[in-house]
Parts: sequence; C-alpha cells; structure tokens
Amino acid sequence: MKKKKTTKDFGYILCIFTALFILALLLTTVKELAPVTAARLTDCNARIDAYEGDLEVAKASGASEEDITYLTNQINKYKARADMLQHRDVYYYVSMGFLLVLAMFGSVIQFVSTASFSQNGQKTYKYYPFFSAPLCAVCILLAIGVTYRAIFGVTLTDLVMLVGAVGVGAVVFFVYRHAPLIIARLSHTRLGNNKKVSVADVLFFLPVVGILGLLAANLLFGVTINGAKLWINVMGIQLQPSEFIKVLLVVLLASAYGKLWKAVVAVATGGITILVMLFLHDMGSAIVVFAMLILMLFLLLDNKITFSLLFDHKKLLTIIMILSVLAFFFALTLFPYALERFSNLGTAMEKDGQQAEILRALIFGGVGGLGIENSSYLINIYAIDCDLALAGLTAVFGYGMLLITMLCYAIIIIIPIRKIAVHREYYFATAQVSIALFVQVLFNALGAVDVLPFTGIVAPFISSGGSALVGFCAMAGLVLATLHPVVKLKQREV
Amino acid sequence: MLYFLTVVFGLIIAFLMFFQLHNEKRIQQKQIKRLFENLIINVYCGGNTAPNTTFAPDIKYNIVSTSITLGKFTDGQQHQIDLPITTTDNSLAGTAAVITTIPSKSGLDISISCVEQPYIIVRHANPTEGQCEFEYNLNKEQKKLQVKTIRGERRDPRVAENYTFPFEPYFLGTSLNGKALGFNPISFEIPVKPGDEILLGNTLLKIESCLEG
Repeated sequence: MKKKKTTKDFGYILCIFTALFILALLLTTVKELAPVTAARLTDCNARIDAYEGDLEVAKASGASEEDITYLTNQINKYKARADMLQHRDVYYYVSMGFLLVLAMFGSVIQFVSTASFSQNGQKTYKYYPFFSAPLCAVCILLAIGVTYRAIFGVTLTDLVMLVGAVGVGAVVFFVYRHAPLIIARLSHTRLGNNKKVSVADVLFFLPVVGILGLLAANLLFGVTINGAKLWINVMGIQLQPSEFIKVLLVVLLASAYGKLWKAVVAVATGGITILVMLFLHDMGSAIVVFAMLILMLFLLLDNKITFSLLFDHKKLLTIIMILSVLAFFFALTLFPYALERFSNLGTAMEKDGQQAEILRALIFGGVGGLGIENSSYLINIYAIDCDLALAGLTAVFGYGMLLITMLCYAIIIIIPIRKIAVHREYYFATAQVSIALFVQVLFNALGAVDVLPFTGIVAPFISSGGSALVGFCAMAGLVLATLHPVVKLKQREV
Repeated sequence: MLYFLTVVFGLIIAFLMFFQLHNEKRIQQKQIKRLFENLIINVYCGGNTAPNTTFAPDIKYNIVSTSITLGKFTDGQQHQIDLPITTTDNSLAGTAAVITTIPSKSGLDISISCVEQPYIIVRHANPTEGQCEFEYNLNKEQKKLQVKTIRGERRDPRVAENYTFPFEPYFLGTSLNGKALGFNPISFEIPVKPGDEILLGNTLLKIESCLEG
C-alpha cells in the first residue's frame, strides 16, 4: 500500500530554532550572571560577618532584646540570600535545560501521527499535529520569564513550580483533546431513567462547581496580604485560586452554547465570580473575567442554536452587553479601593513609589536595557518580578526582548483568527484564552507605566507566582489541545 | 554583542512563527479537505421508498461533492447536508440533515463536530399561519407535532431562492421532544441516534451510524 504523508511542514525546524534561542539566551545570561552572583555573594558574606560581629558586641554589652532580634533577623535574611545565590545558577541552568528539552520534544512530536485514514483502500493519509508555532511561543516566553526572574533569585521551589506547571499544562492538553468527543458520546447517554437530562449536561456543571468551590474556599480560608485576600494556604503552599478560576471559566464559557440555560448558567457564574473577586480586592482578575464574559456574549451573537426560541437574540445580546458594561462600572463604584486605582492614574511620579522607580529604570535602560550587571538595584522594587514584570523586563533587557515577548504573545492571541477550529467549543476556548492573555498583557504593560490603572495583574508566563504559572500553562494546554484534537474514535465494525 | 545577536535571532524566530502559523493553516485546510473526501455519510434511504422520490436506495453522499464548503466548516459545529425529499402526496417536502460523526467506508470513526446531539431537520412544505402539523414515524411509533406559527417580518434570502412562502412563519413553541428553530422555514429537529428509523412521508431514513452512544 502506498503511503503518503499529508503534510510538508517545517514546524520541527522552528522548534529546533527555539531550542537554539533558549541555549543562546542561557549562554548570554550565564556570562553576565556569574560575575554578578559572585559579587553579590561576597557582599552578602561581608554583611553576615559584619552583623555577626555587631551581634557579639551587642550581646557582650547587654543590648536590648529588640536590637539582638533585629541583628539575628538580618543575619538570617542574608544567610538565606547567600544560600539562594550559591544555588541560583544551578537552578537556572536546570530550568533552562528543561525548557530546551521541551522545545526539542516539540520538534519530535511533529513526526508522530495520531490518526490515519485511507481512501478507497489505496492511500493512507495521516493526521499530524499543528501547534509548533504556539508551542515555541510558550517555550520562548517561559525561557524569557525564567531568565528575567533569575536576576532576582531562583530557588528549588521555582524550579519545581516550573516543571509542575508544564506538567499540568500537558495533562490539560491530553484531557482537553478528548473533551468534545467524550461530551458528544455522553450526550447520548441519559441519566438513569430521565429522558431529558444527559450525562453531558451534568458534566457541564463540573467547572461551575469548581469555580464556586474555589471562590468559597477563598472567602472562608483566604489569607489577607497587602489588603487583598487572594491566597489560601494548602499544606504550607500559598495558592491563588483566582488563577485556576480563570482556566475553569475558559472551559465553562467555551462549552456554554447550544442551549439557553447553559449560557445563562455561565453568565451567572461569571457575574458571581466578578463580584466575589471585587469583594476580595482582586480587581485585576475581575477585569479579566469581565472581558471574558463580554467576549462570550459577543460570540453568542452568531449562535442561533442557543437562542432557538428567541426571535431577535442579537438585539437582546447587544442590550445585555451594554447593561453588563454599565453594571461592571456600577460594581466598581461599590468598592472604594477600585475607584482609587482609577483616580491614582497619572500620579506615579508624584508619589515616587515603585512605578516611579520602574519608569526611571526604563529611561536609564533606554533601547538596549540596563543589562543584568546594572540591574541589581531593581531587586528592591517590591513588585518587580510580578506586577511590573513586562516593564522590568524592558528595563533590564531592552526593547528588543520586549518585542520578542510581544510577538510571542501575539502568536497565541491570534490563534482563533488564524487557525481552523475543528469544534466550535474549541473556537470559543481559544478565543477566551486570547482575551484573557490580551487583557493581562495590556494591564501588566500599561499599568506599570501609569497609562492604565495599576491593578496587580501579572504578565503571563513571565511573572513569578506559582499559581499564575500553573494557570497560564493550563491555558496553553487548552490552546494546544484545540490545535490537535482527537479525530478518531475506536475502530468500528462495518 | 552576543546578547545583541541573541535578540536578533529571537526576533527572526518570532517572525518565522507567524509564517509557520500561516503555513499550518494552509496545510490543515488541505488535510481537512482530504478528511472530507474520505467521509461518506452513512444515512441512506431505503426500505419503503416511494417510486418517485428523488432518493435512490442506499445512496452514499460524498460531502465534498455537495455544497458544504471549508468556510462553513471553519466555524465548527454544524455540518448539514441537504438531501431533497419529495413525497408522493407532497404533504411533506423537506430536507434531511445529519450533524454527526461520520464514519468512512473503511469503518474508521472520525468526529468532525458533534457536541450537540445528531438530529434530522424536517421542514414543512405548506405552512399555514396559526398552526402547523408534523407527522413522522420514529422507530415504528407514530408521532405528531403541533406547532404554533406567527407571521414574520423579514424574508430569509436562502428561502426566497427555493420556496415561495406567502409569509415567513416562525416557531413559537413546540410540544414534543424536538427543538424548534428560530428561523424559517418552519422546521423541526428530530434527535436521532444510531439504529433509529424515521419515516417521513414515504421515505424511510435509517441512521446507520453516527456518534457511538
């Protein structure tokens, strides 16, 4: 039998190029990072020695308990920093090595066909994956993120988080590839003797339960840090439920079509999420979720099936969208802290806080950036590796690296426009991920430089924060799954 | 210098990605077209076929040869193939549509888009204002559906080409397990599963296989 490959594709070459880029970035950074690490280590050891000397003197002279505690704390702080610096380079190498392997894996997987079908028993055509570009974009973003965060410190926890996040993304990828087929199968299976309700209808509520459960956990067991109750402690690890809620919302909103009650349930869940997030002082996530909801309503404009009994669903949806925007702004007025963020716009330089610091760093850095060697002082800026990540990245590495980052984001964001979605559910999912990424990037980049409200939104794949990294890798998994869906069910007897 | 070269290299890769994205779309389009070429709808008309129906028994339709276009496929979800049915007494003219996983001749199941339950769309040939009736036979069980209709305001251009309705009737509600469509012509969806036999007028449609239930 003559076999013919259906594709002439050079996706694998792109993956190899990506691996080479990661290697080049690693080599460049190592060259600059090593002397900085050595200098800072010497500085730390000198400080530890000095503080230990002070401590001995204080103890001998019978100083107050407060002074002794302060000195002990300082010693512990610098010891921890010295410890981190000693292992930083190793963890950084391993992280980059892991991403390099991931990119190489991406090139190998291009050759693995996942389905085949024959025509008149003559030729066999194979079905190959098509996701090399977004996979490479994610790899490059993760590599840039790891490199950027390495300047401020990498620990074993960060490495584990990175590997864990990619692992979660892979699991989401494998599960979501099967999702539409499994749901389609289950839509025939009725629940017990009930004629109307299918198992697929029950499955629809899984993300709803997940979202409401996470919101409830956040409300009940939330830990307040800096006025925002965003974290919960699970076995000593701080998790940010809002990041997982966003992923579940992507799945929920993507599947909420075809029946009116599904759309209503999805919109209601989104509305509750926004209100709870605003209540928990998480304005950033509330904005992202709001954008996702509006997009969902917009996409439903074209979906007649959902509104089978409504004569003019387009007018209705337009009115709902306008009302939603008004309701969102009304909801913001209920929370004074949210309004404050808006009224603070344009006052960054007057306040001389962290935004002013980053703006100065951007100016000093210029087009080429400060370079790793000159960026040590940025470590004192509080949110440098999370809320100010994109601005910080530009300040350190220059506008060239920012352009690479933005182009990588653009690759993922334009997928719903550029790619063929095999299932409508997949089209919705990619669109939701797009809008979530777009809003996050927009608010992170422009919030830091005082153009938009500074709302504590992290930059996807770049910022530190385990939950966010896991959330975005899961979203990347969703997008990759939509580009490589399962097309084959088990063989049937004819 | 090394850093500068790295950035330039990164930018080249980033632009290559866009090219690759375009390339992948082109290849995927080809692949999907080929996927369609290999798919044969297994819904066939057989059994109690009236002499002057346009159906021949055991017709197999090739999707590509019909009006289904890749453009339609792009937005997912609905793949319908219109098979004209004209019955002897002209009481029921309509189209049968299958929205389903379509197995190829080789017996390979390939799901295209079928999150919703597969169904057959039946359209009414002579709708009247006020009320319309559908009669069909599902798995040897006679069923009747009464539907309220109201006069619409706008003509559907697709309908104007093929039908000349005195008015554009819309659904108001439905009493059976079917789902009403909000656009004309008066139509009714009969949810089906593999093994179902539907008798519309004199035409027997046998759902040989769709998604495995």
